[in-house]
Amino acid sequence: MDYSLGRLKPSETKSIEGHLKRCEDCRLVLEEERVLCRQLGELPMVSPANDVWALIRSSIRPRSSVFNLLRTRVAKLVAVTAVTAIVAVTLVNVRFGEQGTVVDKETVQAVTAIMMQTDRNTTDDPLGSNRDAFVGVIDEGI
Amino acid sequence: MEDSQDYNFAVSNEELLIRCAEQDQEALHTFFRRHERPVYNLLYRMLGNHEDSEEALADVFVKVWRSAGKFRGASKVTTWLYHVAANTARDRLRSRKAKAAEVAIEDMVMAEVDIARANPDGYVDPEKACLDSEQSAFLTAAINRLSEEDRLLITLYHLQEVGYEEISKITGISPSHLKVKLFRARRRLRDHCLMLEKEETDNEMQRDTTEPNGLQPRAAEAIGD
Repeated sequence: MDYSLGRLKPSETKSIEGHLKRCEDCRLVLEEERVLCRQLGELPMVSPANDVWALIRSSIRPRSSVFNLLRTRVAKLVAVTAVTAIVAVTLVNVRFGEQGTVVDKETVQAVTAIMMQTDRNTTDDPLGSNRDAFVGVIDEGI
Repeated sequence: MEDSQDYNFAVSNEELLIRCAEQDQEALHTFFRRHERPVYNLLYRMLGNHEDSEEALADVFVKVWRSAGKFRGASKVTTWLYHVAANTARDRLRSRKAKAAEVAIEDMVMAEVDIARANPDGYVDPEKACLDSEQSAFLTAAINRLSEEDRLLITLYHLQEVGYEEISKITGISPSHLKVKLFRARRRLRDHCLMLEKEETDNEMQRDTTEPNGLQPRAAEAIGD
């Protein structure tokens, strides 16, 4: 195929031409390839008979306003903070639960509220400036 | 047909996909108008009929709408689009429980004549169109007998004129292996063409034997009565 299209290097072309002079089978295959490729190239481009756009338009709907709200950065920030709070509360429960202490519902709510205010960009100390308040609430709870 | 402004070539494919990801229907419309013909051609050659191909075309662009945000620009937009189209065609072929009913050559000739007439590229000589259509019909019927993979490779390389590198990305076949596979696919296509020609000759001979005057059975009956 590449030979027919002249895409080979001169040395490769020369080598194939040398072989073709001696091999009738390959000459036949090459001729069949040329005819087939020409016929394939002549097949017409097919277009849809009907306008498919109407079908597509009926299948796509803009996403709900709730989804769009979730896409906003503010919503993402709130979501990340909430997840962090849940993880922290769970860890606190596990830690103090092991010591036989049950953290009551009010404590959990207070911790969650503090975590919601925590600056998520504080990487050294995840609790940041709210550490004292956080520890205070935990102390009261136990 | 559609207005040339629908294509809006001032905006790149990548930009249109970004806008699609932001739920811009107008962007999808432009993207669709720009690519519907080559994608449809691929689907038609894979699926073999207009009804399935039109439904698949809609599926492809609905998938584009839903996953435009996932396009990262690692490949050309057309490569990604052909990949989506090829997968959609494959899914459809697999969902067909039974093999698609074989269409008679005569019907295929008529379908190819219709395609030639509908071709907006220019004037078509009716006589030449008929001869070309017969040849196209045989070739189309032979393509339809190929395996799913052979059909995809032949269509992409010979009909859509997609290069080896791009086909390799679409199909996941290495470029060197691709050349071998394409050659084998063409040999099988040639075999199917010869087989179809033989079947057609046998059918004609059978018709000539049963109807010596070449009359349709009902017409022969009427004359006999």
